[in-house]
Amino acid sequence: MASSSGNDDDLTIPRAAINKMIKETLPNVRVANDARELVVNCCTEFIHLISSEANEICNKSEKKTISPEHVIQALESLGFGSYISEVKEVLQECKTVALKRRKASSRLENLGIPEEELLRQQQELFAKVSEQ
Amino acid sequence: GPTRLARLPLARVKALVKADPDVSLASQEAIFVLARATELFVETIAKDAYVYAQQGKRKTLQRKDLDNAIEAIDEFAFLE
Repeated sequence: MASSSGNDDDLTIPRAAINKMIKETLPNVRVANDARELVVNCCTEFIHLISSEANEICNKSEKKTISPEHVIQALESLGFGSYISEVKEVLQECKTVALKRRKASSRLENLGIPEEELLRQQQELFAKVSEQ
Repeated sequence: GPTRLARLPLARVKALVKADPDVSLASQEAIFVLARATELFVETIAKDAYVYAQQGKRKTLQRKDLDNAIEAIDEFAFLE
């Protein structure tokens, strides 16, 4: 493969990822190389289409960052409403993972002290109590 | 639903969004959602194109099948 000059215009989704998706979608079908190439380029166009529309929607809202809801609205307005229910499942997964991560890190913060040290301190306290 | 093995690399999706100078920053969740939508797009266009290969009694999906799907389907008009 030719090395990238670093030009943003050459950015695409990697061919290997597209090939895998095509293979999963059409398992027993041979796909011509120029057809694969076209799919790669269509993906780039799709991403630009949706993100531009989401950006417009974001600009009209009082938010500065494009949210998943903006992307969902963009899909709806551009005729890709049939993707929304599956896309919402991914969003739900995101939120679940993020929630678990926040809970786990707040538990760690509350400890501060490693468990062995806590056990050691507890044993010292027990020892003091039994001496009294 | 069925397990998806193939996924789009999120970093690349993010880079593609960032490459557009007119587009604001997108949240990580927005990138996730966009990546998933793009995967669905690939599945849909591949299946839609394959119908044309079947009509032509071919087992190989060719570029012209995609061109036909793009022309026939309203949502794909942006690709013309």
